[in-house]
Formats: sequence, C-alpha cells, structure tokens
Amino acid sequence: MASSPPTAAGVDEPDELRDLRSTLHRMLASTAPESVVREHLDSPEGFDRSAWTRLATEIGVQGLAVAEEYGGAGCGMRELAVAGEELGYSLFPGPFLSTVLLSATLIARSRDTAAMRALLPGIADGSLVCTLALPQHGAGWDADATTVTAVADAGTWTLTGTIDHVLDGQVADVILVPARHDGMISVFRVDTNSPAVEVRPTLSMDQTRRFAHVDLTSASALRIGAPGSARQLLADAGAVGSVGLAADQMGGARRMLEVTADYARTRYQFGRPIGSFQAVKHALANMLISTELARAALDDAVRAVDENASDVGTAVSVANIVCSEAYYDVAAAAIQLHGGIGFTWEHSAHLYFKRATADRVLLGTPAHHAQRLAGALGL
Amino acid sequence: MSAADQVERLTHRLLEQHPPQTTGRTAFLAAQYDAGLTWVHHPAGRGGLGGERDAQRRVFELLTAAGAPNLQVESRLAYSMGAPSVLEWGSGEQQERYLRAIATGERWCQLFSEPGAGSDLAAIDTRAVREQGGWRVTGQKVWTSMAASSQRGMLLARTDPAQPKHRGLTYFLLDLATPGVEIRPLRQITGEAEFSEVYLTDVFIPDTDRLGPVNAGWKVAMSTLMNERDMFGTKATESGPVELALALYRERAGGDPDLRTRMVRLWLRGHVLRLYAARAARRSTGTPGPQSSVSKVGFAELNKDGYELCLDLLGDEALLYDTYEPDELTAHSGTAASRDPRRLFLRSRANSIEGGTTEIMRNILAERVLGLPAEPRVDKDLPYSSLRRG
Repeated sequence: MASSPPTAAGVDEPDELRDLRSTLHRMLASTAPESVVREHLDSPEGFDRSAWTRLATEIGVQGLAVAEEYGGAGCGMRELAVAGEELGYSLFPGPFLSTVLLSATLIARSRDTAAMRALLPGIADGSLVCTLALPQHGAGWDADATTVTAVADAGTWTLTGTIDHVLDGQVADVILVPARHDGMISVFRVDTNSPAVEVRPTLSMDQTRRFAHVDLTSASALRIGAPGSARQLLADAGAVGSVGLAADQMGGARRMLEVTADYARTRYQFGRPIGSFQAVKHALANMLISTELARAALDDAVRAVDENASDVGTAVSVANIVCSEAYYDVAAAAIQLHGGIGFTWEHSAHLYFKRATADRVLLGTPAHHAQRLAGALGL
Repeated sequence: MSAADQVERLTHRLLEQHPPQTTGRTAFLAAQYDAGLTWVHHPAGRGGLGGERDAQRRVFELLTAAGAPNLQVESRLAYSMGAPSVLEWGSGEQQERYLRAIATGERWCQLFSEPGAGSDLAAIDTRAVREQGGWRVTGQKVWTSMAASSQRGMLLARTDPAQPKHRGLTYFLLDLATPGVEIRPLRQITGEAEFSEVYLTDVFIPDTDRLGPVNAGWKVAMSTLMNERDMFGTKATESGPVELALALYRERAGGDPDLRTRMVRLWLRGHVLRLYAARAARRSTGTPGPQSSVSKVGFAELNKDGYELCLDLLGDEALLYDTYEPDELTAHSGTAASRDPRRLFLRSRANSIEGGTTEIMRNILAERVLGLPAEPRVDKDLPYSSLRRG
C-alpha cells in the first residue's frame, strides 16, 4: 500500500492554506473539469467566464493578494502559490497569470492610488481582465526590450507601437504597457475598447494559454506609478509571476505523476501490471524525484518573495529552472509511459505537455534563468 | 525550564564535575552515560532522559567545544546504528550491557553484505549452527568498514536454510576477538582500503550475544539499515563537490561557455538538494522515511557529475594521481584523508552503490511511495536451500 506521497499537496501546510487548497480543488473539479477545459480549447475567449466568476465570488481567488481596502484578502505569495498550483493541476485556462499574478502585483507595487482604485476592485471581483505586455526578447523578457513609445500632449499620453505574444490579449479589458519616453521607461495603462488598439488573437500551441498581437496607434494611455519605474515594477511583477508559474508547473507535474502511476498500476501487458517492470518503475521514480525537488525549490521561492529576502532573484530563477524542467520532463514521461494512448488527442497527456512547453518559455527559458544565476554567482 | 534548557544545564554540570582535560576518556564517557546524555531520547537508565532526539545535537556541540569525546563521530556505527537496534530488540540485560559498552567507547562494525549477497541482502549464506550454549558460525562477509578498529560486529547469519530466505536469519553481536575471526583489508578503486573482508571459520558465539528471536534476524537488520540510510543522507549533505568545483572553476575555466553552464547547473542541483534535505529535516518524524531515498539518489548523482566536472576543469592534470599506496588511517577511520579531486572522483563512483544502489532506491520510491506493484519474486516462498545462487 502506498504511503502518503511526500509531494502530496497540503501534507504539512497550516490549516488555513490547506482549507484554501481543498476548497479550490473541489470547486475546480466540479466547475472546471477537463471536459470544460476542452470545450474552450477553441472558443473565442479561451476559458469559461462563469467558472472564473465563481472563483472570485465564492473563494476570492483573484483578490487573494489584493489589499482589503480594494476588495481583496490581503494575503501573499503563499496563498497565490496554492491557488496557482491547484489551477495548474486542473489545467484551468483563465487569466490568472496575466491578471492576478502579473497585473495586480504591478498595480499594487506602483503605489499609484488612482490606478489601484480604478483597477484592483475589478480584478478582485473577477469582472476585469488585465494583462501585462512583457517585452520579449526571444528567451526571456526585459523592460528595455520595449519598442513602444509614449508621447505626452497637453497632459494626455498616447502610445504607439507593436507588441507580440501578449498573454490573454484576446480577452483583456486593460493592457499594461511599458513604453519609452523622455529617455526612460514607464508603465502605461491602455484600454482595449479604444479603436486605436488593435488586438489580433494568434493560435498558440498550448490552447489553454492564449496570446495576441497588439498594435497601438496613438492609443490614449494613463501612466501608472512614478516616471521611469517600469524596470522595478516589471521585476516585482515578474518575480511574483514566475513563482506563480512555478506553482502552476508543480500542480501539472503532480497531476501527470498521479495519472501515470495510476495507469502503471492498472495497465497489463505480458500478464503483469506495467508498473511492475523496472524500466517503467524507474521512470516513475524519476518523475517523483523531479516533483519532490521542484516542491522544495518552489517553497523556497515562495518564502523569498513573501519575506522580500535579499536572495529573491536567485530563489526565483532556481524555482523557474527546476519547476520548468520537472513539469516538462514529467509530462514528456507521462506520454511515453502511456504508450500509444498518450499520443492521442482524447488523452489528457498532450494538454499538460503543451502547457509544460508553454510554461517553460513564458517568463524566461531555463537556459535564460541559468545565465542569470551564473551572473549572480559571479561565474 | 524547557527540556532543551534542562539538557543544556545537565551537560554543563557533566563538564564541570568531569572536566574532559583531567578525566580519563572511559570515565568521562561513563559519567555521560549515567547522566543520560549519551542518547537523550533513550529512557532513563539506558543512557538517556526520555527527551527529544533533537536535543542530542546541542549536547554534542557543547561536548566538542569543551574537548570531550564525540561518539557520533568516533564510533559512528555503534552509536547511530547499533544502539537503536539494541534498544528496539535487546533484552533488559542486553540493553544495559551493550549500551553501556557503546557509550564507553566500544566500536562496532557491520557484518551484513557477502560476496553473494549485495542488493539481495536476504540471500546471505554465512551459517550459524546451534550447539551447547550458543552457535558455531562459518562464512565470509565483505564491505566491512572499520573492521580492524572495532570490538564487535553486527552479524546477520543463516540459522534455518529450510525456510524461505528472509525467514531463516538470525542477528548476532559478535565479539571480534573470538578465535576464527580473520580480517583482511579490501583494496578498492582508489588504491586505499576503507573496507575489509571478514572471514569467519567455526567461530563460537554465545547465545547471550543473539539480538532478537531466532530466525527473526531480517527484522532486526531492517531497523539497523533504516538508521544507516538516514546517516548517509546527513553525511552526504555535508560534503560534496560543488565548493571544490567552484574553486577550480574560478582558477581555471577561462570563460569556456560549456564549463560555465555545467558549473551553474551543478551549483543549482546541490542547492536544491540542500533545500530538499532541510525541508525533510523540518518535517521529520524521527523515523527515516522514503524521502531519504530522494536525497540518496540525488547526492550520489551530484557527487559523480560534480567530480567529473572537477576533472574536466583540471584538464591534463587529470592524467595523474597522488598515490596508490594504501593509508593506515583510512582503514581505521573508514574515510580517506586525502582530498585530492582525482581521488574523490574515483571514490564517488561508489556513491550510487553503497548504502543501497540507486536502482534499489528507485524501486523503493516506486513501490513504497507511488504504490507500484513489486517485481515478481521467484524466490520468495522457496526454501533458501533450493535457490539458485551465484
């Protein structure tokens, strides 16, 4: 009989976290099972609005880290990571990363009360979808890679430029855009209902994560936060986003490990469960080892963000690399160990594998983060 | 006063009443035992105070700082593996006798593995035959660390070959001064002899040195081995090639991008394994669990890959070696004194074999944690005497 897997979520969590986890887990199982995820693989919005709204109204997922005065619960990375992990476990396709992890963090860190008042309550109650247009430069993102320019005219800002791969751009009400002006880079808010903002959805490999191409042609904008604060705001939001993404990866890896271990126990070939063959057994042991080590890296990054520790950059890069590779390796092994059925459209494995593939690129590849680490170590 | 404060106060009193500088080693250790400070988690009268296992670390810190002996280091196997087995399986008389002996400095070694029984430990062939007052034992043991400097051996022997292999074993605590015990150094890949072979020829063991019931030796051996794996896990976290590789890298890498990537990857793996070990320690219930297998596999691979990187950083100096002469001290302490990277490189090849191979660790993880079915065991219910061996 299997003992409780050390990776089992919630094993050593304080009660309030465990309650959040189990409530969310149950709700996702009933409101957003895989059948619902599949219905939205090619729907225009890409996710189920009613499930998204219920997450906000019944559990308060979107407002977990939003301050109480703006309608949130005032929690931190710990709670966001629990939510991220359960959403990843169930492959939830809503705009959690873009709206909750990246945008809400950036807005809160800007200390711009007008922006906070205007945007955070809507994020917390699930009515507003907001995304951050991270300037991509191939293997990672960098505020300095932005090509959007901002122009002020009589106290009004307009933005012009083109942005690729805007996460959840197809559904965002508001896009936060880093743009250059006066020799600096600041973050601006652009509303997508303006005719000066053209959003063209693209087809993504991972259909649970959508991207859009955004063209801005003298689009009206409001600056958020102090002039020239984009680098710091993006770094803060990027750290929270990366750790939340690592949690998503943890959840997906956990799910694929469970599904594959179940299959190995019940699939018979040569008159034996395939899990009794060492070639299969050892591959599963490696999946377990990867998942266990990923959990240790994730926990440490959560700690570093919540304590705003001096090693936060290192801890975030470590979690990004370890969790990216764990999820990818586990999902790839899940396909292999399932054999032919694992390669079919009807099986879950490809959905997780594609999400694992997207997750490892989304906020910087493992190779990109390894270079950052090498720099931090002085190598 | 908290329990930890009490342990600290008792340790200070021990050091005051028996200053290590003016007290004989045995006398000091006996006083430590009587004060319940040898294994604080043991019951009173058995070298402990019925306290928390964690408090022992503080005792050793204070003792080491005061220059007193540290059994955890000096008689590692007796202290960390023998004592828990005796406490679990020994009679009252045996507990008193063996625990006091260990506590006053007796060193023990482990006589489990045999040439024909490595991963399949239950296949051991050393025979113990009952006679008047005890047992007559004949066989060959191997991979015995510190045999020549030990007084007693934890011995697993076959007492009933007609039973299936796990069931016919009995556990003894053999006095190594008994006639018929012969210890030969076993030279290894590094040139040194950290281990010995132990030959047993018609060795008499009194029945009072049997630990646990006749034919229940497998269970007794399991409690010894669980403590061994735990010891390996903690040992592995202290050493490792990352620091050495970093030093060599800074000295020699010269901007090679491939070496830079390998270096950062090595650092990363070591860092995450340390995070994992620290996390496991925080959640520890006292009994080593399957998560120690994750650490065991991780550190074994880290060490092998890490010393490989060290060698690549050494370049053509990797063609040479410091010395193949065996070192006397190595056999005594069970650890090589030389920290030459080339020697450590060779030594690391054993990390994925000793203390349970990586393959066996993966079986444990898959079967005990993930609940996968065990390999079919063709020998499980057959009498040992009918098994094919070799």
